[in-house]
Amino acid sequence: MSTKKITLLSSDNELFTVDEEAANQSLTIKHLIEDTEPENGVPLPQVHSKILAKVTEYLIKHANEPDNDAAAKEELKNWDDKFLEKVNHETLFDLILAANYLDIKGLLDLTCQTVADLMNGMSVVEVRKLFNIVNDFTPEDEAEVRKRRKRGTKTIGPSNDQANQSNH
Amino acid sequence: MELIPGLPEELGLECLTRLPYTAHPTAAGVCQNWKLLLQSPQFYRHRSLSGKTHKLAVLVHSLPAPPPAPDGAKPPAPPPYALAVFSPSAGTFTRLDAVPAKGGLIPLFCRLVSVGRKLVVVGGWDPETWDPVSDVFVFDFVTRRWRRGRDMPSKRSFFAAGATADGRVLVAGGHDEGKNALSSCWGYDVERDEWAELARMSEERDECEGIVVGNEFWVVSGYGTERQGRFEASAEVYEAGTGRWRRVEGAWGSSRCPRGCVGVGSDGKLVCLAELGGEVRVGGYVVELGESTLFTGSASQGGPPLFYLVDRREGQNVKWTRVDVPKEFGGFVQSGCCLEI
Repeated sequence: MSTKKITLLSSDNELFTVDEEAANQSLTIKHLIEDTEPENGVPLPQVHSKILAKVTEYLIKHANEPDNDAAAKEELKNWDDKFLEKVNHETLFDLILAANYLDIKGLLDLTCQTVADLMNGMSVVEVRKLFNIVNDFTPEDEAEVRKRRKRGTKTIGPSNDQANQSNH
Repeated sequence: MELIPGLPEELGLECLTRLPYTAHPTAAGVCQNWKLLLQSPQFYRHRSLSGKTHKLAVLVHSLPAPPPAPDGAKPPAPPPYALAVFSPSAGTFTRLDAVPAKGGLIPLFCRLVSVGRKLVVVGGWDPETWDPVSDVFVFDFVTRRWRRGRDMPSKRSFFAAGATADGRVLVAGGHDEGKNALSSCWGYDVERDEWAELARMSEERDECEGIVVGNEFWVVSGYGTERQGRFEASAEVYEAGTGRWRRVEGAWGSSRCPRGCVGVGSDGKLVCLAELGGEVRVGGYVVELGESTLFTGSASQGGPPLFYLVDRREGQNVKWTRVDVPKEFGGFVQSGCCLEI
């Protein structure tokens, strides 16, 4: 196993050092260091130190992915869940952009899935508020949606309007 | 405007691609852009190519009786059955719009079959008169709209239904209006909205069960008119390529009625899920969901419905996981199917 160290340079000039094996999960970094390794660290001008700290934490944890060990897989999954648990909305988006720029498939999948899961169980209004999306339906569109919903509930029995809307 | 403000278009799409299906109806109400996306076939193709589809169980289940009105007045009779969608990965239940039938009442004992992203509701009894009906309803999970399909060419009750690998709905066996057991079989092409008669099975099979094993449609057990209730051990397999039936002797090892309890063991053989040592023993319904199987029913005659996910992967003991079901979805399951979206 290689123990060669790679140094990464954030947009605000902070240095991060990780094993080559960890760094190579980022295809962008892998390509950047393929020929020659820059002396003062691999420059990543699109990634701020605050985000790069999170990214390297992920890269180190995922450097040796378990193949067939169910318990280790479970442990890694739990770690992933915790990793983004307390991350705010803005950081989550910055992590998506960084994962995309650095081409880290696992991290991009994890962060996009987290955004999708945020919406689970939310109402339309809550989703709009979460992402700052403007309601561009005309009053006629909205009336049509309400009518459809009402027609649905009328025919499926009492107190199901909530079930129709909130997907609990 | 971007799909998600602050993210480039393709990354916003990556996020929405991962949205659990049960959250789609809400998402389609967020803005015009999302609505267009979520109702386009391309979106579901992208989901499928990204491996982000989920297996859902679509169920016809009984609704709880409404609480008595405080003034003793009789409440208006609610429809006794409704359609629900259960997502095993999210653990959630959601309501599906009512079928476009009179009063939105779904036929009793109708069968559910999925073909691609479409749900087909076929046959059953009129919920008011209990006469057999030949109704067909098709729900498109992409556009979330119902349409009426062409009626079944003949009325039959307690038949087997399933889908072939080439996307046809098959109905086989059961009994006709004169209570004669049937060996006939019809196929419904959902896209063309056409029925065609197919080869007959080798014998009549009333109260048989349909199940898809691998890519093949199996009609399990049943009995002939003269053998009332004495269930056959044989099954017949429809071979879509040749259009013929292949008989499998001794496939159903149980003396029970196969309806609602046929599963596929890890060895590919049929098993009766009520005889695997779990809590559910009567009145069950099975929906195969790939890695796991949804099995519902009661512990004893008249008992409350229980919902379990059964895990029977090869080389492992049978694992039963109780599903927590919200009260309004907790009724008896009459029919169901798996739909991947």
